[in-house]
Amino acid sequence: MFGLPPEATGMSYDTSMLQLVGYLFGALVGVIGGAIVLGLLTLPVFFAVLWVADKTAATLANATGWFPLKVVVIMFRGLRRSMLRTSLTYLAIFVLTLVLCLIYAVLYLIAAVTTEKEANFKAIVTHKTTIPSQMPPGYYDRFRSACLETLPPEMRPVNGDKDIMSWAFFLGTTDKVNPRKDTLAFLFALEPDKVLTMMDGLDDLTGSEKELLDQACKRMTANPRSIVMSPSRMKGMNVQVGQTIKMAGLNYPNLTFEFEIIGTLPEGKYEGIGFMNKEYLIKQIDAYERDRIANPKGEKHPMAEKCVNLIWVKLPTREAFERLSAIVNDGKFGTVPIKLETASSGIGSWLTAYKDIFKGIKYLLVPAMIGIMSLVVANALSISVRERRTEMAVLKVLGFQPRHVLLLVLGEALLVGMLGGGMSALLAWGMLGNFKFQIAFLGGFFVPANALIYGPALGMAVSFAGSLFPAMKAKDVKVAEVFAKVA
Amino acid sequence: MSSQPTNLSLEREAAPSLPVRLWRGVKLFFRTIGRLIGTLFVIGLSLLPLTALLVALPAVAPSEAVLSDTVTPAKSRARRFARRALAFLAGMVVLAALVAFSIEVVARMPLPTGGQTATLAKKVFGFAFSDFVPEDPKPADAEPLKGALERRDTARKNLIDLTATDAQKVEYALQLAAANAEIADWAEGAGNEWIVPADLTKARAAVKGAAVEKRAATEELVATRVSDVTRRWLPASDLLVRKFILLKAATRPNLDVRDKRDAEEKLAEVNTEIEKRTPNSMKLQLLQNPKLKPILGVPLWQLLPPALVEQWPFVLLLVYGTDLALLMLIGKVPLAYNLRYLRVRWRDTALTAVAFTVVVALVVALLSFVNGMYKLNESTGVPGNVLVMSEGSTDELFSNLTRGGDLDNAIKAPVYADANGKPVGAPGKGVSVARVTKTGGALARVPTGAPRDLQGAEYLASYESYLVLNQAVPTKPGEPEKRRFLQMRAFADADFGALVHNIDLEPGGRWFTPNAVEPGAKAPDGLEYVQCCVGEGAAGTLAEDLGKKQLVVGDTFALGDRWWKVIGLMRTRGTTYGSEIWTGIGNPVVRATGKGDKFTTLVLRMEDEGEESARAMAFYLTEVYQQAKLKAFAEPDYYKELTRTNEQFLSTIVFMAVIMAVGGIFGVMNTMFASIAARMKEVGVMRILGFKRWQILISFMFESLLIAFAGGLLGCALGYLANGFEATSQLSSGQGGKSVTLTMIVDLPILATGMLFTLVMGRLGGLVPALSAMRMEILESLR
Repeated sequence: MFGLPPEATGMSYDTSMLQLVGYLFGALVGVIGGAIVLGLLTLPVFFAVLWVADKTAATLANATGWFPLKVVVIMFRGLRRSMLRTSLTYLAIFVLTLVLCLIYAVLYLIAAVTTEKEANFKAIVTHKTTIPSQMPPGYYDRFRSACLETLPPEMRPVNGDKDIMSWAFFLGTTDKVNPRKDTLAFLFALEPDKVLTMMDGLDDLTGSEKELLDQACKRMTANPRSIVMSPSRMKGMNVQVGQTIKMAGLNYPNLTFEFEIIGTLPEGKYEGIGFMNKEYLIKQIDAYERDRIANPKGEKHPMAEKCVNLIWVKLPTREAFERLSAIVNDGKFGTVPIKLETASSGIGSWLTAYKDIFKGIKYLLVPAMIGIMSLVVANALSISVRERRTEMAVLKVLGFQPRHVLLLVLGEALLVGMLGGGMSALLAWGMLGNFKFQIAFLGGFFVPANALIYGPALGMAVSFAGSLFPAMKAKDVKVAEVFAKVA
Repeated sequence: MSSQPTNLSLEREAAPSLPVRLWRGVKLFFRTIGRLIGTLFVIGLSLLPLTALLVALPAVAPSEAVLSDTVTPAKSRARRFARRALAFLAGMVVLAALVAFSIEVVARMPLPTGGQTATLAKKVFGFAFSDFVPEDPKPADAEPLKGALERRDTARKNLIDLTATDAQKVEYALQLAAANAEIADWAEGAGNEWIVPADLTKARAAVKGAAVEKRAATEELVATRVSDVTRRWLPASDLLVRKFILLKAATRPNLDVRDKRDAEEKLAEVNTEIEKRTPNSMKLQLLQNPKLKPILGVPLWQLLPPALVEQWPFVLLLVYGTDLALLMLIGKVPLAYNLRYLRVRWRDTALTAVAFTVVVALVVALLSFVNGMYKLNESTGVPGNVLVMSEGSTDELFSNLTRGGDLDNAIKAPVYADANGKPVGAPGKGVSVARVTKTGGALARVPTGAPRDLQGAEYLASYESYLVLNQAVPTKPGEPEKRRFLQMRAFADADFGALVHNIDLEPGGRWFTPNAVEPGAKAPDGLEYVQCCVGEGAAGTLAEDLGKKQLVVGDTFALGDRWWKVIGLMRTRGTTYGSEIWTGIGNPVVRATGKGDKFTTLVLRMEDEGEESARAMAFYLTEVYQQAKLKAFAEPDYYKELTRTNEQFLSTIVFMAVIMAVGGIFGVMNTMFASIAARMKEVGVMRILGFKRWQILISFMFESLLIAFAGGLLGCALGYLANGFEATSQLSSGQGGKSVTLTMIVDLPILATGMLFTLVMGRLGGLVPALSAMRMEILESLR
């Protein structure tokens, strides 16, 4: 019988449809709530702006008697003629532009992180061929020496050793037997004294945020067991500063760590991540050989020669990059082949797996959404024009030129488009501006300020495209034909 | 006489005072909100079958004739109530009958199962009734514990401040001790004693009343324990899952002593926690009730008829189709009039329909992309194969299997029981890994029941290393350097690999040798070529560099400091292997990565080729086998796990589709409102001619549905063009992942989803305008 799993005993009636009805009703209430919030958030502002603009235009038109202002007043009146239609058109433009703004933000971020810099840029050293990149710890020292000694002085990193740093990724759980989301932590094992100079988004901190992080890094250097975590991860794990947590490595199996949380990362930086001292990781890897319970044969830890994932270096010029690249690519540099590439190139390769998806977004989704917006506007305007043929004819009788009628229709559409696009861009920019977050090392995700220009422009462009044909029809209204029908 | 001012009136009514105007404004605002909510509910109801809505109409308008020509007005309140109740009940019966009929019909249709439609339904109906039952309160969120814990946190934070002076540190230490003592006192309160283990409670009792220095350490331990338990405070369902997992771990034969002891201790703690929390937790009581839990404690989709979960687009389409057919049977609806109107106003009709076409075409194309990903997952895993990795790995990329006896021995023993202790295979014989003999270079399966020590027989197991390589892409001078990721699978023996994975070569190809060195002509670097076989997707990707569509046997490319020669093209369509390059494990490039000395994966074929046998073997290797720490999966289960990205894409597509649908809905609403406004007189004439209100409603609803249907049909046809396109994507279970080349597939469930989507948009956009037409008074509409 449906509604009763095989293991069910005792009760012999089916509640599934009843539960389904309740569930769907709850969902309907939720959707309605969302729609009301959307309406309350957007429509009052839209109508307030329309009202103020209308009144201002009317006052100015009365005071000056300037003809174009009178046309503008008629335009506003046209929008008020069917508030429902105007609202629906506005909402359609608003919602679609909001999504386009978010898509634009994603594409903008990708373009920003994959654009090559010419000076003072970061380069990444990784394993030449394998993913994930895993290099022996000795490589880091060899690479540092190449940067600080082999390179000509003018090409060396400006701040010396402070401009070179290595990362190892550590994933651990506080509950090895039952690892759940609230027990997991992802940490970058790094050199704490370089956090403030080498980490994107942290190298430009100021004031108390910088001071607190600086203090935390000093403590991490002094006590390798110390870690700092993002506030969101600490909340997710239900842990507090000052607490000691025991973690079992997941990508470093059979290693156990006792961390002391000594601070938090600044809000919105490296969300969901923490930093640990690399020294502690190496120490635990070495200790594995002596752990006779987990490692009865006394073997080396399988990750012992793979515990450096990335090396970052800040280089002053492209020439320095080319020179260092040649050194690193030389077969004599080490037994494990490694490569040097710019940060943007590294991120670009990582994104190649998604290239078709980005193409689909750019060339299919975005044009389709723009097309839908234009169709909605065209639809609304063509109906409006058809309904107002008599009005157009009267205007012509009163002396309006065909171009004035054309402008009237176009103006109405452009106004709704500008307001719809502008409001959604403002919401997207404001909304994500307040919820800044960083995706790993991709930098902070945000809606760029130029969306505030592109949003209304897009709204106006689609409105123009959608209203052109109806406006032409309005322009061509024949007075005699209209009045013949009315009569 | 009316007091309303007329055009002739010379006197104007005095303007109401400000408070009155304000009050009117507020009333108007709330009335508008009320109307808006009402309208939105009506829009929501528009998704229900129209027959059910019509039959239920007297529940709202008891004097409205629906199925009969006339109805006696219900004068008494009791009569009206009875009529309302009866109508509501009748509406529900019609709805239930339509849904039940459609489910039964669809259940009997030979339709595919699984895939994205089922995933979506499982996601949407993934909640159980028990999820809405409140949890027992978290003690750490209530005073006095909350305050004490916060004071403790602050003191601890201050204590580690490097800038704090010694005097300040002493003060902070005292504050910490005071907070710890407060927490320890709380833990001794009635109902809280279970939180702290008995030995700690005793230790605290021993130092109680002593100087701060003497009791600080003990109270710190007590407070830490209280903080851990009360802040973690798992939700009821998580707590029970934790118990289940710990129970499994505590009885797992191959868990090391330390972890086992840890699991046993934690299990005891969880049992105590459940016991103590149950009296205060309605949810825990429900979830532990053997009669209620199977009904109210499982996700809704598990309770619903499988056809409704797996094939919901077909079920709903059939509901709507049957609904329309019934309406046609029930009574005269001026359909010819609607069709004529649509024809006359063909420009408006076409403009609105195009919006549906674009939305539906896009939805179909996007869904075909995810469908391609699901199909890859479903068709890659071979039932009867077991995929073995090192302990803790959920992805081949991170697995490290050491070569040698411990791993080889793992596959020799037969398995007699599955994870639940149920016997598998023939009694006393169990299930084993299949065996083969190599005769004349070809592998032949050893028949079941052949002696265990058969001369020359080898286990059908493929030792392999999966790796992802970073390849420099040739660029033109001046272009920035580009790289791409390529997936490689290196085999100890190609014949075993091909047989285990069911992969053949296209004619003219041959498999590589274990060291993969191609004798004969030298590569441009003066060294021998490295042999490889490539899947269709990888052949396409690499061919881009040569300006070709597909690589052929004999083509070469550079990768990892060596030149490679394609010696075979694999028939891998529809599997993730299509995006891979296969080679021998002794190949110099693979050895340079460090994965040539070890394996990442061992893939076994079970003798009976059954999925259940594969699961039993996977359980044995993961939880029972003691010589090596392994993690094994039945192969289909492993590939089913790699659907996390698919689900993320699916959620995004649904979100996009909904947003785009808003545009379509507004479009049809606009059109219908306008077309009704232009036909007010016609509505009045139809009413005079004898058409009832509900027939007007159906007529206009039908009109919007027809526009949606036509637009949607064209959209599906356009979307179908995406069928067969190739695209790159990523399959992942969260850790690692596989870059794959997939084929976009538009199948029947996707087309059904597209059509359902368009009809839903038509209904949502059409009902409110149709209702406005229905509610028009005859005289008013003719005026």
